[in-house]
Amino acid sequence: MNQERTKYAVARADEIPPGSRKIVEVAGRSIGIFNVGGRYYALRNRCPHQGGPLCLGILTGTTSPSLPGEYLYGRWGQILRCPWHGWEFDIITGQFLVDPMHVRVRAYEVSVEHVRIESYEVTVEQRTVFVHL
Amino acid sequence: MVVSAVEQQPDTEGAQTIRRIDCDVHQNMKSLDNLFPHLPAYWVDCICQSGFKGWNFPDQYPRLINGGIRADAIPADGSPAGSDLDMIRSQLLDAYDIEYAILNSAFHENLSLLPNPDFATALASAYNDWLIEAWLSADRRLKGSMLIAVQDPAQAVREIERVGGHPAIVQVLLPIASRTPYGQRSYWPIYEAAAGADLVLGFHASGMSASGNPPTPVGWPSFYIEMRTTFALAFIAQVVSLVCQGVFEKLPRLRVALIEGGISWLLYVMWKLDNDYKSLRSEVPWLRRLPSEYIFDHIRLTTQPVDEPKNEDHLLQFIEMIGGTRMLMYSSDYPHWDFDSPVLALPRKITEPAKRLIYAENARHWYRL
Repeated sequence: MNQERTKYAVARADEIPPGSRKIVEVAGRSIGIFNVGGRYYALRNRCPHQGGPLCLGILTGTTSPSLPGEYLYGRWGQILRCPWHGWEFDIITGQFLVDPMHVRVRAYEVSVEHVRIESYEVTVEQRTVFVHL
Repeated sequence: MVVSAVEQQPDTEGAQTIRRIDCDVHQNMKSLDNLFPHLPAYWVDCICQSGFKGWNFPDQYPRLINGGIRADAIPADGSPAGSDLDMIRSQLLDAYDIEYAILNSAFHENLSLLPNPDFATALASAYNDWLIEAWLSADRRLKGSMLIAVQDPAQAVREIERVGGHPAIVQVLLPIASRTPYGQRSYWPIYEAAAGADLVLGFHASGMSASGNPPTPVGWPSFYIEMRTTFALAFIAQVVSLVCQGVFEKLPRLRVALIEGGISWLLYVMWKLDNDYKSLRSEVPWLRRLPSEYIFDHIRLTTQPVDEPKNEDHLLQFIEMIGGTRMLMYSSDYPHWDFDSPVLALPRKITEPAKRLIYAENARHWYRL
């Protein structure tokens, strides 16, 4: 039976523009929210290797498989490199690039919804990022 | 909604239940200026006028990220990683309840290979005085490796006699790379002084850039990943030299630590030397035992970077083959990028008694803590 998931508001959409990130604490977990090309992704801030603070790592591109001496550098902004041992993770899927089938960082569903905020005389509709745990 | 700093790292769970001695921590100066109060005026002027800044460089092989440092270990004010005692306390000593940490500053890496032996000796002495004043006196958990300028053995011996007796100094530290093999007799007065002061002789994975020798017998590799793998060649050559030259026969009390060299190459050395000794003993008649026995009795290895084979059982069998868990001493290599977490780095199948040995008791015995 599918467990009901809870969604947690973690940021206003405009707080995390493309190319940036925000580290949040949700239900006792540290989670990194990334905006890659306008879409949001949420990854556990704990590297599956030795538990390092993965989401504090380097946002980068990477080289895809090539011929010797050939450098095909791309996917800039889609790759997160752990600040400890430099393991590369695909932000979009959470997969470890070297062994995508077996190693990944925990990734969470993200949605962006309009939330009505009322305060005294003003009502504002604001795009808000939710993480579903 | 809370914007937090990183949550308490989950890998500190269980940190309280086991003693830990960390045999490789790289503390750092903020800058060479830290040594000025301990240096004669002549050398201070030389440094300032020449613009010499020390060798806080990552050498010719760019080291992945941040010059080889964990990104979260760099102080907010931009000073070098490892130069802030409070950060070392919070990220290592307190976080993992470390009983003792042995300080092996990166400053040792090319000191012994500096062409001017008098400059090197002056820097070593100043470093040792700074180490004692700024670190060893500041936290009782900190133990220190003293530095020497190996290129001038007579002065190195004097330095060991000068500070080697300090109660928090436990080791004489050298880089694994050298101009000539370490087992050769010109180095022996240094080893005699170390043994006399009851200090461990520590060799750390470093010195490649300045030794004048390429990391391999076939020349200079192109990539950092290659150079890291071929570090083991230097460890092999030095262990073979120390054993075959008879250093351990001459100095039966000498204890050696091989730091950050890995462990997998050691089996090859033991098997090969023992086999060849049976044919070639007459060439090295001062050896009275199998070469591997000298290694079991006189050499210990730190664990980082720990091997991570797919099958954990293979690592456990391997440790047994190189002499057992008594051979290993836990090290973190903080703050380098290939840091090994004290909680998650070793195979989970290691037994509790073995954990106690590797994490603390072997080092306690070896370093007389």
